[in-house]
Amino acid sequence: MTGADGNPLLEGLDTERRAPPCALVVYGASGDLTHRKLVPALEALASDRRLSPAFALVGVARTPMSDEEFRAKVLEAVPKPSAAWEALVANARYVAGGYTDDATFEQLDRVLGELDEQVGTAGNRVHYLATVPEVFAGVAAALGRRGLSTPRGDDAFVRLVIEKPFGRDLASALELDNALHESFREEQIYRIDHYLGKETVQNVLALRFANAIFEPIWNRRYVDHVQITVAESLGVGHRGGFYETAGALRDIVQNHVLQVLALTLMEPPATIDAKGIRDEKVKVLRAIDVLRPDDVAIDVVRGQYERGWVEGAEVPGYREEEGVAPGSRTETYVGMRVKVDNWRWAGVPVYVRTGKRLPTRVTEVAMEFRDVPHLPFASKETRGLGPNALVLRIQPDEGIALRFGAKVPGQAFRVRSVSMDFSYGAAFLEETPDAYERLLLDAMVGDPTLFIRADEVEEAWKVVQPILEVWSDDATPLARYGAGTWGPREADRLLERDGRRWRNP
Amino acid sequence: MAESVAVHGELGVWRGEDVGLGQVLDALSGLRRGEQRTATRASVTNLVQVAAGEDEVARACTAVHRLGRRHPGRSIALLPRPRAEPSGIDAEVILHGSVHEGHPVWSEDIRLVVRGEPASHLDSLVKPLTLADVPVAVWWVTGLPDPADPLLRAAGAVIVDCATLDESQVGAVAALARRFVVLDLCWAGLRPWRQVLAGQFEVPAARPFVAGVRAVEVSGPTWPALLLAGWATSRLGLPPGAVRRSPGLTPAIHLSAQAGGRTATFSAEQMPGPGGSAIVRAWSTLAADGARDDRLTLPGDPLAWALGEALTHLGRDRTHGQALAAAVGFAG
Repeated sequence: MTGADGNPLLEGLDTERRAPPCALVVYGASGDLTHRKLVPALEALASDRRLSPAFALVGVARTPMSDEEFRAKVLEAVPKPSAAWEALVANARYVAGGYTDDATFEQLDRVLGELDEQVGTAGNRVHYLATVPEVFAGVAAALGRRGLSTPRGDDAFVRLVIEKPFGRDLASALELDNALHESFREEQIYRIDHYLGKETVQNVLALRFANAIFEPIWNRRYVDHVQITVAESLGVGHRGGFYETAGALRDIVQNHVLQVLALTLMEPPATIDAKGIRDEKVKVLRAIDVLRPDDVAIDVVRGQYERGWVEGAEVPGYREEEGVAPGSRTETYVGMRVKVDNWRWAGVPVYVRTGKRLPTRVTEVAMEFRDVPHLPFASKETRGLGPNALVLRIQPDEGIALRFGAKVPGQAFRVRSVSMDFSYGAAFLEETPDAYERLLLDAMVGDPTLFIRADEVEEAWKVVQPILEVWSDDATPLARYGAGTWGPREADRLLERDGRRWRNP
Repeated sequence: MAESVAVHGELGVWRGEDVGLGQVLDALSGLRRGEQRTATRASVTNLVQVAAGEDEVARACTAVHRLGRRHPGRSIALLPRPRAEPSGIDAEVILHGSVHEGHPVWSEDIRLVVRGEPASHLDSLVKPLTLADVPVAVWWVTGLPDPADPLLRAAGAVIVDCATLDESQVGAVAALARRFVVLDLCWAGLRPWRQVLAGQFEVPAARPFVAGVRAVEVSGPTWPALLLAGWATSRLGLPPGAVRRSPGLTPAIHLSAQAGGRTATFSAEQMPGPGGSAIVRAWSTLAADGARDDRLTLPGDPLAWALGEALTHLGRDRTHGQALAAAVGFAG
């Protein structure tokens, strides 16, 4: 907001990324996500002066609580809250009730009206569903019945933020979308995949489209193959019960992996805005060759970890974890060969792997380039030379590494691969905003670029749906791998068959 | 000529008296080569400090090190001595090492005591020492640079601290800001006052009053008060006569406004905060209409914080320029 918005005193105060007056209504306000992620992110935004003084947090949950108790709970969620946050928490309100009870929304309507009057939230609302996904449709419908899904006033906005999972499969995802669209228009719906809020995921766009040197080689002519790794060293912990109903394919591949893949392989958008980026992502997702049932066994590996050693500690196997059935066939590892059938990427395999209890926590995209057409050195001189590779490390050690050949110093002419390593942490020592900070502010500002559109969700489900269907049959082999290894042997064979091998990140 | 090398853990120090710039450059690369480990040099800026005495150098270096995490880079401190002394340069180069997220990160401090004729040509010393491809900001720790100083031409941004100046120098600062990108630490330090006071007008009941401000009352040390008054009058299009100034220990600003036949006052004032901290509190007389107090905790090290703020916005600050131009109208 600047002078153009009627307050000339704001000019020069870097307010273009500042939320307008609004009420943020959090459903599941007494839950873990709210206190572990949302409240600390809001506090950080408040300390950074990104929230308007006319901001109000409204909690909705089943747990009975007064406004004062809710405010105290909100303040407790941050060890040393800033003065700016304390001032905003004074505006906070709480509504106790069932998520689909009309009485809850009647009371909510009254509270929001009071906040418009007293705090100046100007009829602007962001409804954030930090609840179990089973109630998404019910809350949306209740908001619609009460007229709370429609802005009251020409300049006001009403938005709905939901967290993944967006359905359990293609059919349930479409069903959820239909239910949401009964009360909200698509442009009001902000689907969060917190991966997209990570600074380094966004940086894939900067690397590709702000530099002249990468895009010309970003295609089938130069790239031999792509490897995408999303590895976790942790097991399922106390989430065994949830994980049994999800598995790595639903939990990671359908969203995080395919989003990273889309950003990496999409065509350059005309503009870096919501429509430009999301249109291009959808095109890539549509270009992915959807597997026929017979191909699933060839191109996809389903794995589950057994007891092993990770980072110096012995850890239980998946079937020994709390809440997991002793004979569970839920996958904790997926290795896949993905084909992107478009002009740019035809014939370039994209190998994807994700798993729990792998040796380390790492997310990276590696582009391995084709060999030179002719290597004018004796083979003994190039023993240590591998293909050129550009590695985009997304977490935890965000950066970019370029592998190329260099002469080993000395009389002999020996060429060896070296890595030129750029680390964001070492170049920009500034703290980067947490993913939730970024996404919450985007939702309030009204920038949907980093949120997932309905057609993206649908296309991503179309990619994994045939695999889910094949795997629903208990006859599909389940490869076992030791905790602390890079996955099952079958996943290695997936690449060996093509004369390639996985990188060790 | 005497030289010495010392290593403190990951740090290397080189000192030389009566040295040439080539020796300083050799020392820089020598210190890096001396380290067995490879490390990243974190560089987003070259920060040159021009100081009049040892105390100033120490004050500036402390501030630079405290902001190191936000703006890592090469720090070059220049201490020009009276021109009558025999020409010569005494130098100290310090290689700093730290580990950030598992990566060794290096940065360098260079300190030059410049005697005699070279003190008139500091630009010739700075240019070979600056890192390529990152901006050069030159900070005159106290006072203003001579407009003819050739070092100004080597500076992408000129940092001054108006709090070290006389009120009579307002015109000179305004003139400098018209020619160069000037980053004023005093102005940067007033950002919290501007933020919280501007925020008071965002509450619906207060919005009509922003166009109805008729009087500006400021108090506090000379320059903060001048800049706050200049800011408010330039932003709100008020004449110099709308300003009333009074002395005070800490900056404060009060705006009197009218709208819809009502009168309201909007204020921002520094106050003691919890645990010995200081806060800026903003409030208005519209509390009954939903306006709320706003508070912002001030940084513990205002100089380092203001320097970090200034370096974050390494471009021309139009709002500052207009505030200065307005301040010329009512400065003594």
